[in-house]
Amino acid sequence: MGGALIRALLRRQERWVLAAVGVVLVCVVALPLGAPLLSLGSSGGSLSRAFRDLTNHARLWILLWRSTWLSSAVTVASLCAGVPLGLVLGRTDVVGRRALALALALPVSLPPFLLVLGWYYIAGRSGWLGSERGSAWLFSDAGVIAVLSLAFLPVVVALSALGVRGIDASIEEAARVAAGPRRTLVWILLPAIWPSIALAAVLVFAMAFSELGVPMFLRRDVYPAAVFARLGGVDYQPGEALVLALPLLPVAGLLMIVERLIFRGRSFAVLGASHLSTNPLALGAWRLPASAVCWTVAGLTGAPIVALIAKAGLRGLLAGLDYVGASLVNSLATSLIAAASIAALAAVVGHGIARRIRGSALLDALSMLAFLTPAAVLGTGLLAVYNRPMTGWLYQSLAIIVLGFIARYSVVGVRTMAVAVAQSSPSFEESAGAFGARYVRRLVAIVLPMHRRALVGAALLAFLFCFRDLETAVLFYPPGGEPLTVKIFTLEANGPPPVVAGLAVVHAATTLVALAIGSAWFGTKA
Amino acid sequence: MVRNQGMTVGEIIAVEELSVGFGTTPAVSSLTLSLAAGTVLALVGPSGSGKTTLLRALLGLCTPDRGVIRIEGREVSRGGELFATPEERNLAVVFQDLALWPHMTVHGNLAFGLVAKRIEATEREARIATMLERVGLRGKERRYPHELSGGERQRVAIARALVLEPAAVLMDEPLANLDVVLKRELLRLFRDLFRERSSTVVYVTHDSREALALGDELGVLEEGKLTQFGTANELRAAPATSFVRALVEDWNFQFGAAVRSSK
Repeated sequence: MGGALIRALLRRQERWVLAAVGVVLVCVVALPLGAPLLSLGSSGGSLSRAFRDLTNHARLWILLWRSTWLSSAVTVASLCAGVPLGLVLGRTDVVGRRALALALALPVSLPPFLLVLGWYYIAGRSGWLGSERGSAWLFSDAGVIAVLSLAFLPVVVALSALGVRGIDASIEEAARVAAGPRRTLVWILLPAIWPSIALAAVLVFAMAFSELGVPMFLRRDVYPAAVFARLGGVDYQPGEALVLALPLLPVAGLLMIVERLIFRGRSFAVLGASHLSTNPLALGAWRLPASAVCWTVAGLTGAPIVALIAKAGLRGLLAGLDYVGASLVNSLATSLIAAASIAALAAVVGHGIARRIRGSALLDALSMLAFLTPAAVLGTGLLAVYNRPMTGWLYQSLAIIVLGFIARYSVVGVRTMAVAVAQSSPSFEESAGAFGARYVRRLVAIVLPMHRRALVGAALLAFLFCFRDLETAVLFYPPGGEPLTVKIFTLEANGPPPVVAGLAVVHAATTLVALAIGSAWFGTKA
Repeated sequence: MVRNQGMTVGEIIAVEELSVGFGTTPAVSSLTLSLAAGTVLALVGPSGSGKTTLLRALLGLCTPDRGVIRIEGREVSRGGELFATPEERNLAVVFQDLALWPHMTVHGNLAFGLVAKRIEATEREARIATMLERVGLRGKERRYPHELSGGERQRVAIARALVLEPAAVLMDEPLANLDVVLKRELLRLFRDLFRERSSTVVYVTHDSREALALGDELGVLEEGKLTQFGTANELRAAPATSFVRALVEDWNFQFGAAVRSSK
């Protein structure tokens, strides 16, 4: 009997492993995202009344509209600058391509509110280039759009560059034999990478919509700030925050539909096809002007970091290290544990969607939904689900931050693994299967060793996203368990500027160390 | 008419002492040949012999280290310098993976090059219609590549190249990985199309049978060098290397098989 059961379990390993991952994702994603809806039904009418009151409140809709148009403007601005930059970086002989890519990598690894802090030191009223007019502009909607566009620009650049580099060389060369570079770019390369561009648009919109730090710093009212206001300070009203999260669900739904339409029936093997373009397109006379533009943009994205370093100085940096307390350890511990967990989830789900294993698409959709949903929904949902006596041990420890990170950023790892696995032939695994290896053994002995670079890449990316997170963790960090980003965010209002800048430099330096370790590892394994 | 030494009147492609390398490894080494109008040259050689590199150098998709390339009498490359971009060379190409643009219909694939060359709309449509009729794809103009069968995609690829009426068509193992029946059908189509249009073609293959079926003349490439050049009969009569000998034996074996099956 027991032997038969074990045999049955072994035969269905694939299903059981996916089911276990599914349970994890349901606990950390589906339940929290469903919490606002469930709470309406189970509150005995009090939350329903609160929702009715809120929906009658004009300010709610004004805030929602402001958040929507600001995020749309950020998306359009990032695309307008980022797509041409990505194409140039991905396929042309622009001066210092690799260095440019690296220069753009650091700013995107930092939380945008650190960048706005840097911009404040440059263009604020008392900044180095500051003036009344400049300060008024920075503290306006235009300032929010400019800062966030520059902060998210590298996402668009990276996806466009990866998209164009992933195009099979012969597709482009066949066009070049008949037409010039400009026509090839517009009619062949751009349409070929539109899924990458559309994905970049969805991601930038989602990140801009969730953004809390930049609009709050620049004193511009946005919807997530209203939710945050119900969860902090003297005005603590978690029930109302939950209700406020409800109107954000249709936004998440819409983004999810767009994302599904983009990837409908597409193979993840699109990126990194086997026969890649090797010879960059020669820009000719345009090489120097194009290089100058690219380096100027890279300089603009990096300028706030330089400003933070200058503002901090050695004294600010040392003071910052005094102030940092346990927040750096909290950030590192939660981000590392979350990144390792995400890598483990990604190995199963990423492989599953690349090989079209039944059920994996649903898990992928769930993880994508958690990323696209404004962080305020996930934050209030986690609070509603886990802030109860039975799970108090979890809610009052760093584990809740880890859960939040896993929920929000698992898609980063999943998609990285999926793209990598899809590039390799399934015959490696099929032949292992023919030699008697079951699912787990194939995964452990064939898939993971073959794709260890992608797995480490997925973990590194997930770490960077978790380490830079503010908008999720700020909603439910436990007492004494604040991550570094939250520490800087709370200190920024009243703390001495050099110390705040010093803490920001500590954050940037830690990110740089993580990037350096990652690239050194990739360098030795190349 | 093809000769591997010197220049002849009416030559479309002329290559002198061409060397192309990747780092320190030469892929093509001191190669000289010329190709006259209306000739089909089958370049045959083992994997890694430099066939594709030679094609890419002719197309202007890679930069030679040394030597001269002339197309229709115009110098397009000398030493490490390129004097004409790929689109200025009046060539067309069919790649092994066909490289049909997936976001364009059959019509769009054929029209792309004609629009780039500023062919007037009336003439453009007439050329596309004639070409699609000829390759048996009439009525499938609005289909996308993924909606076509393997054989139909091959027809689109050759139609896309020929509709431009280029100086020469360069083909890089377009029939690799096809089944025997389809390959035979397409070889017949290619041969007929080339004859009807007096096309100048460089056809790269590692399949000796394809080379024999299509090539007016054959060039054998080994380790980047042109080791033998001539008609099939000339190669049969005096094979210069062991590879050419193996090639000839393969033809003779097929001939024997054909005789046996006809008895």
